[in-house]
Amino acid sequence: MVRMLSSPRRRAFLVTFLVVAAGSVSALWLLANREPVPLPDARPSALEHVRGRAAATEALFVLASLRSAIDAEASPVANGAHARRTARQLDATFPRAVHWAAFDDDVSALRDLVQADDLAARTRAAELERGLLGALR
Amino acid sequence: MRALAARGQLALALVATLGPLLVTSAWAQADVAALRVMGADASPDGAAANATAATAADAPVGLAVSVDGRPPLAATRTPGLAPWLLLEPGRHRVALHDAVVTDEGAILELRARLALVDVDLEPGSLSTLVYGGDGEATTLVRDDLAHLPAAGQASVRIVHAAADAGALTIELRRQGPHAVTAGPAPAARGRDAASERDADATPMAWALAAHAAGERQEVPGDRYVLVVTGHDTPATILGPLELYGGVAYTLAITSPTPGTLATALAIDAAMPDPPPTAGTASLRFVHLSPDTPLVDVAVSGRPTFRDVEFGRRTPTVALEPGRHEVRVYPHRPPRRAQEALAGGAVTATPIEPLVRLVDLAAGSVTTLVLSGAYEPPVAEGGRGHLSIQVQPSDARIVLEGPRGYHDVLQGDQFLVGLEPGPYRAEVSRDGFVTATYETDVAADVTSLVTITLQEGEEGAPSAPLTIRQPTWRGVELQRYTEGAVPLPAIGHALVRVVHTAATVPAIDVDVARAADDAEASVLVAGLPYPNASRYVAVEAGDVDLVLRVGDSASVLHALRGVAILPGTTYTLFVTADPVTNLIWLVPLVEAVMLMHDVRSAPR
Repeated sequence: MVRMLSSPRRRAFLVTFLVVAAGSVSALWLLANREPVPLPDARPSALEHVRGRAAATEALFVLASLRSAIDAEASPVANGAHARRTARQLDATFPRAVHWAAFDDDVSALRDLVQADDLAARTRAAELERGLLGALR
Repeated sequence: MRALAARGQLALALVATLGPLLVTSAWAQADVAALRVMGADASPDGAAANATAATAADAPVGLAVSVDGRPPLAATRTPGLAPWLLLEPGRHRVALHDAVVTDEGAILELRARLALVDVDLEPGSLSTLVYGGDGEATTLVRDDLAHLPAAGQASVRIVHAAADAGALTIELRRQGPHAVTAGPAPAARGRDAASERDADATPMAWALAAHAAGERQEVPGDRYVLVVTGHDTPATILGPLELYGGVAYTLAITSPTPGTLATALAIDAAMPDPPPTAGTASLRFVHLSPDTPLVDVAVSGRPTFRDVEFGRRTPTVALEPGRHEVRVYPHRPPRRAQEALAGGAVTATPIEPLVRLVDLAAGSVTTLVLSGAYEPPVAEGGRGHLSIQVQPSDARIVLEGPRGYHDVLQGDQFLVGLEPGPYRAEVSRDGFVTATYETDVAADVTSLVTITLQEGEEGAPSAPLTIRQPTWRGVELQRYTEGAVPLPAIGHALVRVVHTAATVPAIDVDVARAADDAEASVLVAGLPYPNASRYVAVEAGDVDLVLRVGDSASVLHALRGVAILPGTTYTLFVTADPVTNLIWLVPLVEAVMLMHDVRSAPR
């Protein structure tokens, strides 16, 4: 070892060798431990899309129930319990459905109609059904 | 270029106008096949280089799909998924074009063709054509999802669409607290008990030739990386990927430029409210007792759901598998009990919780349904009476009242001990016009009703000669547990009915297409309270749903023209108001297959 270090050329070679070896090891270590490449992550929004779609699907049912009841002359306005429960069901599904379908619509408007005006509520329910169906398809 | 752009606009207009019309008609036919295109970013030295300077800088790169030489029908930003195309089964020539596509999938500009491929589609099949991003290479894989993964598990299918990469070994490695390396899988350390139990020491691995798809596998919902190794290439790490429990994915390995690898991830189907953690049991709660106030729910002594009101369901929560005590606390005591006590010395009554022990298995989803009547039955002293006099004297009377009261009588009647509430009498006789009359029966009062029928053509209705006595059933917790949620076939939905109306006898449910005069088919027959039917396939479209008293023509409830959406698994809870007998259907979407953006190719 002492003889090896006695020659300047050999010393230079040894230093070069050590530098290259250390660099290689570092490069290999970095390669092996490199951070994964991040991917475009659309999963949370995709799942939110599934939730919104499910809410819109359920809201369609509530609207069809309301429309069918009024068509069958089971007036929600005349039956307070009917109106209240329809309003509650709308509250349970509509905010998310309307948000998902990007409707510029206020849920409370339909809720108020359900308790005040059967015909207007039916008309509005049918309009919203068409809108939601358009978004769902 | 202008000509191409004009073609793009024309295609967009065609899609916008014809799309919805075609969808409705096409879903109604079973002899269709569905195809979607999953695209990686196109090679930058390919067609994208031909883009004009104006669009190249901020152009949203995408892929447009055309079939059999027609204008493009669907498009997607890349990486991403184009809408499903409904096609006739058989051979089709699919062309993929580089395109400028908006987030909504509208084609702004059509550029050069990237790939042209012939695909063979079987009737009723769902297939995905994966564009690998480099050259003309595509990979066609068949979608055969029959159910969602078990609760807390994600289902993954890997597609090798990187044509120039040769055979690959693809490992899906669960990411622990340590740095992910290309070496041996790190042992899971420092995890909680549930994670420790689920930790998979052996990573999921697939050896795939180019254009091949691996078997679908279930893995715990968690964060993962993909370690992709070729025969003579070092490992490439792709990720991280968040895979959620309750979701089925397709994951394509693509090659956007020669020598590079990337992934495109698509959700095939999902629970809207997936259980959060693998290896645990999942619980949700549905309030379907119309006269019960808001409730709070404690599970094993821990407040879990608050302020749940009628018609609502809670989110799904993860619990340790095993036995749990569920306590349901109403916000107030029954009103009838309060009224009874108002005149006495006692002014406050304790609220009694409803208690039930439930065994929850790992990987299962349990739905607890609150049903029955909260208000106690009316005491003898609080009942009323009803006198009905009819003309002609042998006319038939069908009388309906609170809590499912239903009686068929003939001639004058004096009924005692009736529960207070609204009553409806339908009086009929051959040769007379049928009449209906509604009245209220009050406590300790005799209500008098006199009905005289007018002569006319209308005959007696064929009402069933069944007699039901008033029923009362206290509030109960019904339990429904399931493992994997089934998924419907192409163009269909799956529907099950859960009977939670204590005052309603066994029910039949008929389904008929709203637009047709065709006879209704029986969806569910003789379903008694409290039970759930099997999942039944229903062709998607607008349908009429009719609930009848089991084995009779007596209609309880009819829902006209409700849209049943394809690729959706529904649960319909049947509940009834205990006083008015009004029937309610409370829908719950259990699973959604992402088939929403469906476009039909013109035939």
